[in-house]
Amino acid sequence: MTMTDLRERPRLDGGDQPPAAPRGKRRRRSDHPLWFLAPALVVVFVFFFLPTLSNFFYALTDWSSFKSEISFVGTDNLTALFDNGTLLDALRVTVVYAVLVAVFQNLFGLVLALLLERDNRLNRVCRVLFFIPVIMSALAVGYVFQALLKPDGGLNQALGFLSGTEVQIAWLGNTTWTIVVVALIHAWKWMGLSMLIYLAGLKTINEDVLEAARLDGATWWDTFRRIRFPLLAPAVTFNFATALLGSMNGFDVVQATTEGGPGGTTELLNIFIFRTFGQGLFAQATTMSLVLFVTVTLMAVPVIWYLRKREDVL
Amino acid sequence: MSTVEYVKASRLYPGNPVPAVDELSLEIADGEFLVLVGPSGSGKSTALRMLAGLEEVTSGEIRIDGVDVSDASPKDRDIAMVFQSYALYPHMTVGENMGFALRLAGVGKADIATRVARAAAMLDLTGHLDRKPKALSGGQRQRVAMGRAIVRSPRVFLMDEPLSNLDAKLRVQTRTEIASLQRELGTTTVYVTHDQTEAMTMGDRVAVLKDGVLQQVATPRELYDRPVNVFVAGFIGSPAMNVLPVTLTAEGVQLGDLTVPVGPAARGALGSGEGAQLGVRPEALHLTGDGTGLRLDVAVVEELGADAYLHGSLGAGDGRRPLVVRVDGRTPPRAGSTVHVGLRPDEVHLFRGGDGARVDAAG
Repeated sequence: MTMTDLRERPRLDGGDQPPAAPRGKRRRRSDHPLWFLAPALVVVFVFFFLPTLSNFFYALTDWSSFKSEISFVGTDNLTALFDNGTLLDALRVTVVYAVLVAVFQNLFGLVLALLLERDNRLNRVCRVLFFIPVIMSALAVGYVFQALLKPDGGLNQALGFLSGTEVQIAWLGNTTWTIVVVALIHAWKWMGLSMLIYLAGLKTINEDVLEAARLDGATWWDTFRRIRFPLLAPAVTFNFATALLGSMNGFDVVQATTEGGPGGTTELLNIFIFRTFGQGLFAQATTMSLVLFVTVTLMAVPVIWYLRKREDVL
Repeated sequence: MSTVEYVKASRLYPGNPVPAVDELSLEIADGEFLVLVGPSGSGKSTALRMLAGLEEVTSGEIRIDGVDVSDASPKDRDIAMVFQSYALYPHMTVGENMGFALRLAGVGKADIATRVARAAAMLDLTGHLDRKPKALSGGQRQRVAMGRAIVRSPRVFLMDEPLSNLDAKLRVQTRTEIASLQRELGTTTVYVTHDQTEAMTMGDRVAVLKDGVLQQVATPRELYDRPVNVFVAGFIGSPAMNVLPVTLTAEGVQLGDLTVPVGPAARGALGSGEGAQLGVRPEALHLTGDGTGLRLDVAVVEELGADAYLHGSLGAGDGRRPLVVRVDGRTPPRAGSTVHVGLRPDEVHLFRGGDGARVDAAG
């Protein structure tokens, strides 16, 4: 079709015709009518905007499975959740979890990328192996780790074998450290993705610049700290933002390992929403999901703005 | 203030039986500006990178100040390099770029600032010290790369085609600046280029490489007047020297209707005369005007103002050979015309068949 059109387009005779005319024609042809967007917009509207908007609405009602009708209650849900401390607790747990995941995932991803940077057969195989958790089901990952970390699970048995005494550490039953353990599992699952992006970032650094640094007397560590890491800024932005915001919305790994326990110390907003929804308290669950939505948005903007600023010079 | 020596230095890449640099032996005097020149793939950049420590020396030695540095890491050689891409650190300011090596070496902040300021003044960069490379023009970036090398006061400067990314006018200007800067500083410099004009105008001496093998190292004048073989003869000079096949006769060598006399020693060196070639630069040819000499069919006339170059062909049929002649720019013949040219016998070069080595015609 296009081929024919190009071939049949009349040639310009001489130079008297302004070149703008055929170009304008071509632009018109390559532009599609705006109404072609309609199906996509309808899908986005029905399945994304409408639920989000109704989220705002239901958060202001007393919708639950215990009542036959829904009535407007204003900000009662929010006030109640705030007053009994549930909201702030869940919010705090979520933010701590997200920051831990973002730090661990980036750290692991970056270390892996540096270790597997050189293109040889062994490294290529290792890259694939470390990427496998990314494509695994998060629930499956969670259940595997749950089995490993049980008091009589694989890890304690291995530690017991090595130390010669019986080890009974409750990895998933500690009110202080379990959130770190779960964040480590989450980071482990996704570190392959960060690794891939860091590898790509490392590849974009001009080889001459690294050689210049070597001639300037830089050691491996100098080169990494003063040249390579600053030049990885775009990869850091992407990895940190996706890890942080992705784990704010985390659910599956935590659900599979601790279900929010022990004592609610790993109860992310999503776990809370899932639980309260299951209890039939729809309005409360909706209110929390609204809080999550707003929090993610509020965190995303400054984080991405700050990290982008670092990229400006590149 | 340092000397550099390549002693049969070779670089063999794994999986390639042909060395990129083949037993290079070269001595560079203290304060000398030596240019490595050759076509792409001649090994000139590899030779430079071997000196920098960025390429392994597979056999032979490289010495700086008489000390073998073949196995020393780049940072222990006290050399500075200017890259073709400039290789500036994009996230650092001009000042930070120039002071980076000093900072790594633990030089005090005040001392760094003084030395950077001094180098910046030499390179006309004083007003740009707080800017990032992205905000600079190509010429300014090139000067920052120079500045980064100068600030360190290294034993040797290495420059790998530092002018290739500049436009033609700036390249000529910067060429002069680099040469005068080097003379002012007196730092031993090895400069790589594929541009023979750059090589001729900048170098105290020029080393011509081909396929990893050093062909000749000499002053620009010597290279131009006494090239050791056909390759050097054709590579040095622009437009290139005319190289024409000749036959050996009782009187000398025969080119068309012209006979160039050769001495007895030259005759011996030429042997049977098989494959012998005669080289003559465009300026060693002249229009005869009286119908004697070689008949040239002029195809193109390049007018350069003061001079004009006639591009034409000698002979007819299969024996046609291209020939370039320099003539006075004011009265050049027209393209399509036929002229007769003569040559100055004392400005011809003879090369024997086989290896194409030079034979002194008078010898």
